[in-house]
Amino acid sequence: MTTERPTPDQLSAFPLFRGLSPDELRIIAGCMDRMRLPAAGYVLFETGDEANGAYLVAQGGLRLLLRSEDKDLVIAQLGPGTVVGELSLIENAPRSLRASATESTVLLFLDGERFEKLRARQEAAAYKVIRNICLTVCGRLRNTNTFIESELRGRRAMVVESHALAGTTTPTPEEPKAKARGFLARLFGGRS
Amino acid sequence: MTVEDLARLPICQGFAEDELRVLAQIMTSHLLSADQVIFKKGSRAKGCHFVLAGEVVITVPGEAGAERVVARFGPGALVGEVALIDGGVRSASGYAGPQGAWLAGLGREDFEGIFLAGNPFAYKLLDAVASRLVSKLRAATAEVTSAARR
Repeated sequence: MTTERPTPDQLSAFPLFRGLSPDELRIIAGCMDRMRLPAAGYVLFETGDEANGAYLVAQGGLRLLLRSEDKDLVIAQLGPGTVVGELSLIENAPRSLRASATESTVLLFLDGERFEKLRARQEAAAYKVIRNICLTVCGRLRNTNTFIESELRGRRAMVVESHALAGTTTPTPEEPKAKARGFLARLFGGRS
Repeated sequence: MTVEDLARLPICQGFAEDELRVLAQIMTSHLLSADQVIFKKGSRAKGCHFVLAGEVVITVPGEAGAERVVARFGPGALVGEVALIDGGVRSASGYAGPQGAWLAGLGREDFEGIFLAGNPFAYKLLDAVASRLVSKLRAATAEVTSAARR
């Protein structure tokens, strides 16, 4: 990790910083470090790791993996301009996914501890970032709830009911599983 | 809205009287009778509500045209925080409970105004809204993740 700070121009390209003035971007840049994952396969964080901030992809890419007892699932691949781990800036919880580099990758790390200090000082820059995260969360929440209602609860209930009426066994829900995986890829802002 | 009315809300605790006075000028009082509509699913949201007294019942369409109750909010609760942030359409309907409800409304544009002015209440409200949204998203994502693993 280097202490070379990103410039306001570099940061303004990220939706996370929409609406921040150049001065506010400079304040946020003071909470950031540049880091490089030298090659494909380098692990940024593991499932269950303590979350300590957000990572912005400046160059290269990240693969997000959902660990499972029997099989690991690639949930999404994130390219330049995307962000991972931003929810930890609002509320700390262990990482729910594993993230690793798809190639040599440059990241901008927004340190949760330094960001929290800005928030405690009620800096407008920090609260504009929080509001941008909230906007993203609202979109994801609306989409997720719609997906759950239409594809998981609703569809499963219909399948169970139709098989109950016909007196047959309800099949394994392969289709919802595939759809859930595709949906998660979109939710995390990547391509599955 | 009066300063005394607002002082009943937990989120207003710790604010000085002159700070509450600013809020009292922009927040609106709504006295609703039993079962009266507060907002309907699909309508464009104009802001959020705090419950001062009574109850707010949230419903979604259920079987055969009936409405299914998904949540009930009592005094001190915040209702409609998603709409406060994104100004989208309501994802559920809200009604006053069987005893009616007394609400304090905060319009999205007014929130935007105090937020951009650096008002401490706007920041405190955003903190509360952000935590709630993240918890909701984590719960919803966990449900989809569980389906993806099955």
